[in-house]
Amino acid sequence: MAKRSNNLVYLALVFVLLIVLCIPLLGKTYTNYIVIKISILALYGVAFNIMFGYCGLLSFGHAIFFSASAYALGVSLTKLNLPIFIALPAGLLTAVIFSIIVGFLSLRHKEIHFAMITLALSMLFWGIVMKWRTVTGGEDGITGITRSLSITSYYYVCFIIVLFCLFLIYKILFSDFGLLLEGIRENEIRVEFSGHSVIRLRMLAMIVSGFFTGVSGILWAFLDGAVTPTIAHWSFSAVPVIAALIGGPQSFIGPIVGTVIYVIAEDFITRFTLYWQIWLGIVVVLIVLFFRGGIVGTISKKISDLYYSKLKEKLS
Amino acid sequence: MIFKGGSFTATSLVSFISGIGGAFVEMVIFQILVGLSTAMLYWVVSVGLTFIFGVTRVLNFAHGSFYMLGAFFTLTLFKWTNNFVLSAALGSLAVGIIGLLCERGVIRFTYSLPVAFQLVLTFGLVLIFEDLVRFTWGSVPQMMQPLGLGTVMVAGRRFPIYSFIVMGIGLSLWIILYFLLLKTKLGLMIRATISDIELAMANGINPHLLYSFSFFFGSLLAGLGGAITLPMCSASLGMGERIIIYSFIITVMGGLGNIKGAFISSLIIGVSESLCALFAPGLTIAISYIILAMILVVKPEGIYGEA
Repeated sequence: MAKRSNNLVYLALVFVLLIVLCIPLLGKTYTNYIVIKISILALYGVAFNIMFGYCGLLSFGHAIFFSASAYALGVSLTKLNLPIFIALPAGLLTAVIFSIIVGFLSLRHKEIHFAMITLALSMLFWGIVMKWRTVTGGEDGITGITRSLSITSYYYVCFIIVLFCLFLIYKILFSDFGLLLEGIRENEIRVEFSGHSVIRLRMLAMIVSGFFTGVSGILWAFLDGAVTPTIAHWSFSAVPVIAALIGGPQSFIGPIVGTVIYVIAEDFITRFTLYWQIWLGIVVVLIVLFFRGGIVGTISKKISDLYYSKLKEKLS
Repeated sequence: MIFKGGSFTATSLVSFISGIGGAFVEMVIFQILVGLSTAMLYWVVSVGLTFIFGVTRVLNFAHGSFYMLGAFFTLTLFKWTNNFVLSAALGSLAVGIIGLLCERGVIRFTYSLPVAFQLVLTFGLVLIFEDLVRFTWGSVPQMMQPLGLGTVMVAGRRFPIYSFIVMGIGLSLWIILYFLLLKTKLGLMIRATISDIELAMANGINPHLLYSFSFFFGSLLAGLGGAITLPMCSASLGMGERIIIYSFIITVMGGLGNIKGAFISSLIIGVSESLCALFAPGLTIAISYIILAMILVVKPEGIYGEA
């Protein structure tokens, strides 16, 4: 059964890939835009979920990594006029440096403290971005980040990069390192007793998470051609939290499913009403109250229940 | 003037320096007063958050929304009644009741869940309240007509009398909380629940009543904070967000759930912010975060530790 369900997963994956590869053939720019947005935010969600789902640390300030890399890219491209092959590593390096700083200040804490400190630090960054007009452009942000690719080519570039990053994260999370992270989440003291430094492992996880969040931030900056302070704001930190919750934080694929639903629902509801936040809020409340495993969690629990009940029948 | 008729005299230099010094001291005193009144506002709001956390262990994201609701309720009530004290009292009472309804309606189901779920649930409430306010009052900031209390001269500058009233409210809240927690039966029950809930239950205390009470009281304080901020600045959609970040900083800095810590850290944040506006205006937006970071590096559990 386990093997067959694995095959099913692969089949579904190939199916989704085929669909996504065919979408640009429709030739609708807006659809392309939405799918690129979904793929970037999916990477953002999965990178965030390294901390939330695997380390058990709820970060409410992941926008800081996202926006730091986007801003670093924007500043070095438009203000310093650096070539792109320097600007890209500069953006990623900024994300890594920020994750080291944030990690240093926050990783000694757990649960609420961790969430609050990451939130406070990201709001500090937001404040700096809003006030430091000469560099960040204040409320207007940085405009004029050009990409020489058309939206269809960018679609494929984005998609390939996101897939590659997801593959890397998958490999990282399903290695010994990922197992250790889950071990820390379940029982910190035991992992410490087995001779691992909890803080160092968490710091590594933070850096990995910050790095991939930075990748998504850079992709975002190229998508819009501009960087605005909205991506540094804490409501943007809440996007992966909600996506992970909708999809199911305990699984790798959960945040991806959640992001797809989140973006499509947002796009759909805003067509009818200005007041879309209230619906989002209601959905969040309902998920926390009734479907805490998220979509993927609920479905996989159903499947495993079915499997075990059949197994029991066989045994009896 | 230093140059008196083109010649430099020692006495004029002394008078220049003392003049600067006097003006400087006056400026600092004035800024400290401004800081104290902001600090008292922060204290009124953040003690509500701290109180709720201390009793129920839930960190309420929607606290900022309650603050915003308090401001908007008071604004509307003031338009009807034209009596600020009455409308502030009724407004904060209404917010307290909304807080109670939220606790009974949704939050109480999450007491046994991990912290992340409580945070996210109350974040969902923030989204809902924000849209409700936008729907009811629109997204344009609204000013209340000024109370017309006038100003007094403090250190050579005009200082609004209303700020003294805010300080008075903050200090009397401190006294009220002191008596409530240390001198009454209810306070004894609350302290028992905070320190050991199982023993408290074994002694016949119903924690759920206390949970509801704490949400009512804490939200009422948030509403009161929103009400008393109204004569000083306009009621707007983003106001809850700013104050919730500050309340979080103050609560974490003083030690989660620690009321004394909340008082001290509101004072630190309020005063240092207004002094920073004097000495390094560019740093004002960052100073409270810097202080928080420094304190957490030295004392990870906050100034007074977790209650």
